[in-house]
Amino acid sequence: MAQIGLKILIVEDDASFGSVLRDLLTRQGHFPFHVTKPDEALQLVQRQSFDVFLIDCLLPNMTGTDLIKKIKSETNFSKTAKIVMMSGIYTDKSFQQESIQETGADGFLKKPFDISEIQTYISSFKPQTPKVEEHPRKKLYEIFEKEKVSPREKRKMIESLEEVDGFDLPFIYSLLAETKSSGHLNIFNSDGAVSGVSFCQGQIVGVDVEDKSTVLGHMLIQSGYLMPQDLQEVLQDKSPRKIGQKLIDSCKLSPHAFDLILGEQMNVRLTRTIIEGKVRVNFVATEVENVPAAIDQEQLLTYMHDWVASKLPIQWLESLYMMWSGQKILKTSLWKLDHPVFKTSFITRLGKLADRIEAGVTLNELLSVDGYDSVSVHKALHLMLLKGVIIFSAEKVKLDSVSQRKHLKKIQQQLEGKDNSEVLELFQDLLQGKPDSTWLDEFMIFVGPAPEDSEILKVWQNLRERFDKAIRIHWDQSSHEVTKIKATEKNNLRLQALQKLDEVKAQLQLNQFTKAKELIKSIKNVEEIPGGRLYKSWIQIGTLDQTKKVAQLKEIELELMQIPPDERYDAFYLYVMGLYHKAKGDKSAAKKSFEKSVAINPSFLIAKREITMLDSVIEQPKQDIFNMDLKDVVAGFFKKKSG
Amino acid sequence: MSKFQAKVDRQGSKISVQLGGIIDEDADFTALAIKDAQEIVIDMDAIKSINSCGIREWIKWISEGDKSKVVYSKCPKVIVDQMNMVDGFLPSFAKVESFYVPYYNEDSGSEKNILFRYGVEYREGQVQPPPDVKDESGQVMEMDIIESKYFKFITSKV
Repeated sequence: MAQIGLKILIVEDDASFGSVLRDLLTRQGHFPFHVTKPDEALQLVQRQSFDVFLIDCLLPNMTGTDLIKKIKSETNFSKTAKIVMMSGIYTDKSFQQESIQETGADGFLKKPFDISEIQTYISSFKPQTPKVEEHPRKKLYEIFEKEKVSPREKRKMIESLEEVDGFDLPFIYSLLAETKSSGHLNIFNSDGAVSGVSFCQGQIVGVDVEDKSTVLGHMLIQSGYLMPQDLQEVLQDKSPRKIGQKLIDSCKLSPHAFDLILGEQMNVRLTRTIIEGKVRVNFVATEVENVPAAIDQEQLLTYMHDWVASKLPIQWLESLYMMWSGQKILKTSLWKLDHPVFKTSFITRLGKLADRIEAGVTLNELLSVDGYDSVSVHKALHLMLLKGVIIFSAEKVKLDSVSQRKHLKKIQQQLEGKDNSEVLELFQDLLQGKPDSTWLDEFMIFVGPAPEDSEILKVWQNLRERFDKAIRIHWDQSSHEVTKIKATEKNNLRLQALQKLDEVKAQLQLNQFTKAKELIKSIKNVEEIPGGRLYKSWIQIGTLDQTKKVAQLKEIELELMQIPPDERYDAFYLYVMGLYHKAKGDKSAAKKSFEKSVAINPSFLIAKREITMLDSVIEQPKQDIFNMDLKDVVAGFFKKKSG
Repeated sequence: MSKFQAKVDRQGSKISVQLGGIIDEDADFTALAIKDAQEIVIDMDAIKSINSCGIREWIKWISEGDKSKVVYSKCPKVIVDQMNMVDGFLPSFAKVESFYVPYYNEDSGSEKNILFRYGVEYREGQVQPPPDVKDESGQVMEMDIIESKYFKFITSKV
């Protein structure tokens, strides 16, 4: 295991001497960084802390003495850091003493100095061990390791969160729901937008987002429950009642239809809160009034399944679970095989998942099961964790040599093809809140101890070197510039991809599946672009191979499942769902989807055409209202006829 | 559940506003015009909770007082949390005269709110909590907050 090294800044204008010194210190297990100019040194010290400074007395544009004074007065210089001055010219004792007195430096080295001299000098300094404040986000997930959470613990934990990922929000919603909380969760986005979710005894009773597209009137018209002229009429009424109440009082809307849409509105709005990027959260515990359309635990599980399927990127989940990958998955007191979470498709897709967990297994072991893919395993586990049926043991499982080989090879595969910043990004959850001088050690703890087998040892050493390199580049000022350039490139690529997707959509409407397929192939990570999965599914349905139909339809089902709920309020989504049902042979479900699609967009010709075609082949079944879904019964009674 | 309550007392160019209940989408700030006042003192002792709609309404309302001397008084924890987290909730032209700090005793589970006053328990950049806070049974209580977060509106204004 590597010893924790010192982070050393060498300021030396003699490039060759500086790099020799850097190599020497690297071999001794430290983390040296070499710059040749004083302003480069100042910029670096502004951004990060160092344990030791080795500063040459004669530098371009500034003396070493002045540089030390500037570092001490203008940067976040740590008082525990040591400064050693170096010079090959100013070597007389009185100069050395004066310089030390003037700058408060800790020592002076006459150049050329012996290797052992610098070694002795450096080793006399103890690495500063800054007080590591644990990252609040880690605390959020520590709850996974606890069997029970008291309301006070829960409140304190949410209070301690300064900032979380938008993708962490489903966990916070679940936690507040599972612990039967009442109050308002206020969410602050980095762009200044404020949104909120209200809970009453663990049920979600209100979702507030600044988003015009989910205004109730708009959604009622889109769903076919209300005609635009009825809404206009009610809007003329200036009484202080809420719009829903006005519509119900004037008999333009049934209370049931209103509740259905209110629930739908909350779902779409909740989905919109789950975003990429940081958010700040604050929970105000208070009594909150219940509403008939409240989202209960059962409904929330359905929504969570959708969010895990469609909103949480696999890269994010892989990065999050890395810290528990070698820990045993344990059942909690909530583990019961008739728990609704076990009926969700991510879990049922993985045969015998519950049996394996009951027998005792780690995430790494699950990932090596034949037929278990990373997406399904991570998403299934995340869903179980959100519902609190599993936790991770605190102890890491000791790996035998076969498992260790697998473990190391897997990390090696994960690092393949990644640049330095991507390597660090992959392990961000492991490193968050830790000083960067300890990152290598954190990584090596995750990798595990040095193996005895010489072949596996090579992989282990390669991993160490690869990660070490990534950290060094991270320290390099230029890496920040690279990150900026990469972000711009990413935005440009996204714009191009969106334009191409528009072309794909146009081709699909003309039934030009081959052209659309060619176009979509040229879009990198198309699944991450809004609409990407939908058009991909549309193409798959349009080019179904009758001999492989069953397997292909299963793939399409997985794709459609991963479309976020807020993208489903769209005529094209419903149209593709109609095509999917039609391909499966479920004509009545297909017709329903096409009709919904037309309700959203009354001039949607291709959907209308499908309805006409289906009408000619479907015999109208008698409606058995006692065995129908409540939503359909209500819709049948109260839906307005669309044009 | 206590609805939003507001009582306004105008004395010349000075306005005293007493707020209470829940600040949410139903909170109507339109009756609390503060634009032309020279001094506005807002007593928040009776505020019970605030949601995201309330936060937006508050920011809109308080920004109208940008030409006045605005004083926040007896701020409960729900308000202090927002002052620390939301830009514009405590604008630069507003001063906090006093606020509550929750205290807790782990053994007895007792809870208490202690009023911290400007110039006594805190001043710019500094907090000097009272030396001993005890509950009814005489047990010493501890601050039930994360100090670095809760006092941020004081410490970050140095």
